[in-house]
Amino acid sequence: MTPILEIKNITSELSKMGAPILNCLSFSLNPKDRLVLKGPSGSGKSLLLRSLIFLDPIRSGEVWFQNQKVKPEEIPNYRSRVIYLGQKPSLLEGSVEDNLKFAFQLKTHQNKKYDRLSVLKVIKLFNLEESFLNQPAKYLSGGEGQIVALVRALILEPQILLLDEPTASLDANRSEAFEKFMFQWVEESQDRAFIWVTHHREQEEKVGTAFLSLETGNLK
Amino acid sequence: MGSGLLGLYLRLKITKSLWIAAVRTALQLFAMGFLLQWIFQAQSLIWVLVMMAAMTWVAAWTSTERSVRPFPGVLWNSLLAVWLSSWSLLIYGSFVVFHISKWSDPQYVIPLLGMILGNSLNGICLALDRFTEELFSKRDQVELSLSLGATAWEAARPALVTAIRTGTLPIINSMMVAGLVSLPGMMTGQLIAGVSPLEAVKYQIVIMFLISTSTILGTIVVSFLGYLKLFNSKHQFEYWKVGQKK
Repeated sequence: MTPILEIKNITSELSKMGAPILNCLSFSLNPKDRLVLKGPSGSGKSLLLRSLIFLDPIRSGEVWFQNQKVKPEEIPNYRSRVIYLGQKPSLLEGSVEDNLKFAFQLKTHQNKKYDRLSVLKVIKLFNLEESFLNQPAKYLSGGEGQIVALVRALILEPQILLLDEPTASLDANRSEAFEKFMFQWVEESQDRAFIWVTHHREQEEKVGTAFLSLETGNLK
Repeated sequence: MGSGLLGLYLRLKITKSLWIAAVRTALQLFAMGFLLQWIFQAQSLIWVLVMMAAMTWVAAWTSTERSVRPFPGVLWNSLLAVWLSSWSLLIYGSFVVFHISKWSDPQYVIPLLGMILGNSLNGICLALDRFTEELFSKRDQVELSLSLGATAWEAARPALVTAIRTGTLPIINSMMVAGLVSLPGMMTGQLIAGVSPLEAVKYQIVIMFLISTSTILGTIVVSFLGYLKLFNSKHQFEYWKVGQKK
């Protein structure tokens, strides 16, 4: 099986007390992989995910996507195939639906169309009604915000999702719905995978088919 | 003096800086007076250019000195913006509008440059500050755009628009009320010197247009240069380059 995503010897440009926070890391992600990334707080889990999509700077190393090295000019398109969901969802001004439609204005997505029906299908799984789409995004709870961020990413049809503690602010029911949804999503197609950062041992075992542990910038 | 005493009376704690400012104004203007007198007499192109370069440098330095969030190269950015926007309009104004016969006529060129610089400096300073602050405080939104596939340009555009709008707002406001609320300094000077009001107005209108065009140009240039400095070819926002709030 050829991996979809390969990380080759990534060293972070950012450093803590003189040493780079990530030190020469390599790993790969295969289709249908459900990779759990664990490690103590401050070990660089978020930084790793952010470095994979070039939000944070890397001093050396390469990222390969579908057997090709990601080149600078391809980064916007690469980022639309490998979408990162931050720990705290960042929501834009306006309604939930405005947030969902936002990315369709971008050049990268000019050939895609916003499809309300498929959005409704997804939010229903989280027990949310159609009226949810009209709510102003700034009054959402942390958990609802996280669901908006997930749906906003999914409708762009990515291949890989990088989930940074996605269920931290969800209640037990929705957390479970979220996990189930993600399993289904990975299985639906031949070329999907996700990386999931979590602190809960229980969730780790439920969610993961592969595991990586990060300790002071090195993989264990 | 009167306001100094009043300040003292009200215990405003501004007395000290007010005194310093008053002394500085007097000293700086006197120094400028002597310098101008000398340059006017010298009639030398080189000294006029040196003087103009020095004025441009001071303007650029002032616009970044109190910058809230400095980043490497910010002084060069603003020097380029100040220089381009003021000198281009100065050349246009002196040769095309006022038909000044030769460069070494410092009597026109230097005051004109001063008026243009004084205004574009404000616009540039405001735009620069707003641009970095906007990007920094809304970093999550910039990064959200990027992580959903936006190009650097798409992600930076909202901050750019806000910065340019902020930088040009004061000059647009003062054009809106020119003559209604305030009589601009140059016109006041001419009126006091006995020039007929219509003649003074004609000059003032031209000056206002030169000033505003230069401000808008400088604001756009400085914001755009800031964009080039803070975003790279990997479509990254280089937030780590932006300094801490002073």
